[in-house]
Amino acid sequence: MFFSVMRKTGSFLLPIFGVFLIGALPYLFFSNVRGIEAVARLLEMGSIQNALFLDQNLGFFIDPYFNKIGELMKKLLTFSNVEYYESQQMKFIFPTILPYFFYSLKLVVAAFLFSGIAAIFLALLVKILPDVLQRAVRFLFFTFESLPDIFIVVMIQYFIIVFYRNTGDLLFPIVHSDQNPTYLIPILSLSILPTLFLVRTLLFLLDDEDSKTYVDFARAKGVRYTLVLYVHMLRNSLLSLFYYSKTVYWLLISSLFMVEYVMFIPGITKFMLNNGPTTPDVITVSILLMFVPFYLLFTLLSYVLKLKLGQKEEEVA
Amino acid sequence: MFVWKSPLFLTGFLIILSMFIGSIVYTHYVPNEKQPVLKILYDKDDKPVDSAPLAPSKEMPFGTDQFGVSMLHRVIDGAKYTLGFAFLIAFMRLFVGTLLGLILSQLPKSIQRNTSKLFEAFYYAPATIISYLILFPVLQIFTWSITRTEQTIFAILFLILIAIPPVMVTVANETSKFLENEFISSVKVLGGRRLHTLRKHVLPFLWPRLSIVYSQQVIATLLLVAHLGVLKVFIGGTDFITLEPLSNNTVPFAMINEWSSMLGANIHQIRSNRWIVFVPLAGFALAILALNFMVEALKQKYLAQGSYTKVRRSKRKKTTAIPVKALSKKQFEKVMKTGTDG
Repeated sequence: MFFSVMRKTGSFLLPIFGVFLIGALPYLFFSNVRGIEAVARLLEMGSIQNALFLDQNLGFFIDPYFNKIGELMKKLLTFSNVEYYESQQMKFIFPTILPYFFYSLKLVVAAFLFSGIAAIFLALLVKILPDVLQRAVRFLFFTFESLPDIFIVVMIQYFIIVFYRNTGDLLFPIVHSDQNPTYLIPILSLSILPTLFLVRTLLFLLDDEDSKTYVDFARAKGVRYTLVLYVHMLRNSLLSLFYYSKTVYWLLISSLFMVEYVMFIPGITKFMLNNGPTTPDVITVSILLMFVPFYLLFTLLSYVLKLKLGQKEEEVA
Repeated sequence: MFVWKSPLFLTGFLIILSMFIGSIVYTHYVPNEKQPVLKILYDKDDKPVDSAPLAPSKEMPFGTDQFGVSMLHRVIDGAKYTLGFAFLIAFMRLFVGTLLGLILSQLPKSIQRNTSKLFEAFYYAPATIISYLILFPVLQIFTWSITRTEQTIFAILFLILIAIPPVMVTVANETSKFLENEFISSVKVLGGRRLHTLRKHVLPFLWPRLSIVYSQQVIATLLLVAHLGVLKVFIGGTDFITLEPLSNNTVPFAMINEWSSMLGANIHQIRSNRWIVFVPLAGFALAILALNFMVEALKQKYLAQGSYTKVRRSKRKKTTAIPVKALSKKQFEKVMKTGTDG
């Protein structure tokens, strides 16, 4: 009993340990990370223009790497505050990072919910279209999904600018400022790719559901197809859709950076980019902040799904 | 070789191939010394009307950059670098990842499970920011103590390394799932060794899946390189040029016409000289679109999992109802008595 609990906790904590492996990567590759930090600080201060004088060896430095991981873990486990360097002084990371973190969290959660709801609507809409039209729409969605996130973000921003130029009214603020925080456009641009992904997945699940006998039975009884679709097929495939929430999270996280960078949003990725070079610890802490809540959620979700659906692990495409 | 008949696959493949080969052939005929340059635009009376960057016009179909070099030339010239980098990096990722994955699949189950758990974070951490953290010092701070070739090799090695864990875990999971098949135990009973099983049974099963993973890795590399370009980290090496010496306006500038650097160095020009941003961006979008076509076709073929182009509802047979005969009373009675109305 004791051992099994230990093993469960161990495998539960492993991905979190993996984050530490990532965060300490500079110590693996550079002989002189302190040097990089110092130079990055001086560069930020503007007292030097370049760092041509500093010597740096590249290679694998296993010892400093694991020392760093141990040090940082000890710090975080004892809840002592991590220090980082910003505008020429050492600051404590912990109250400072929170506004950045919450801004990003708001964007990600809102985009998550929005893409889920939008995907259900779109998938049901596509499903009741006539076949010829349906094929065209599916292909269109697939094409849009294939576009890179950077393209979508830039295009949305550009179209709003063009609209502003032509009509003179700004639909939504496209760039963040402190007086005028922007939410709608970042959320929209964040959620386009996950929405398309979810639409595709849901359509895949619904197509699968189509071939089951209860649909034929309901149709034979004279129940309209749309009714079967809205009530029964949707309900049956929605649960399986939760298996894909990890991929949605991954899509959101990977395009979050682009959205924040292009729209000047003070989010967690901006914090990481500003302070990462001067203090690599910031990266570990930020990734942990973004990763752990969702990781807990997904673990809980997969547990619930296992109870509900039985052992039906599906590989995420 | 059935997948070659799929129009979706062929379209994607031809687009990618023509971009890559076309770029190499183009460079052979128009090297960078002979690049088309148009710095000042004159009107009919030889009056200067505009200076570089010039908007798209008849002479310069995609406009020019701020030095008057044709964007069309730069984007064609750059295709071979960007795509070449992506092909190389994805291939190495896949090669090393597959080897390690096959080794991992032979280890005990508990080690496999724990390894895949440990590397889960590599999948969810934002790769762009980590690569930036590692590559920024190498490519921009220590440009002196590390030579140019070393910089590029290090950048490529790192971009390979960062995606090996996910590839490895994917391959290991696929393989160990495949090894659970019943005929594998027959192989063992009949005396097949591990290497034999891997070579004769696992690899043929794995090839199509690897081709899918390869295309996906090329896409991931292209996206990562584009993101890094936006952060002013250029894989092809960075030069610093000073635009206006008095205002200390030094900007990183790409040494070669590589797309990500063309995109990244000018991303904030989107409000003024948008074609400088849009041309490389369109290149990326087209390349990724073509690769996704290939992935979709491969998935349809090998995994029976493509979803955008499959419509099951249309395949359902539409049976027309048998027309109801109107019977007279006499016929009806006859039917009731004999069973036929004939």
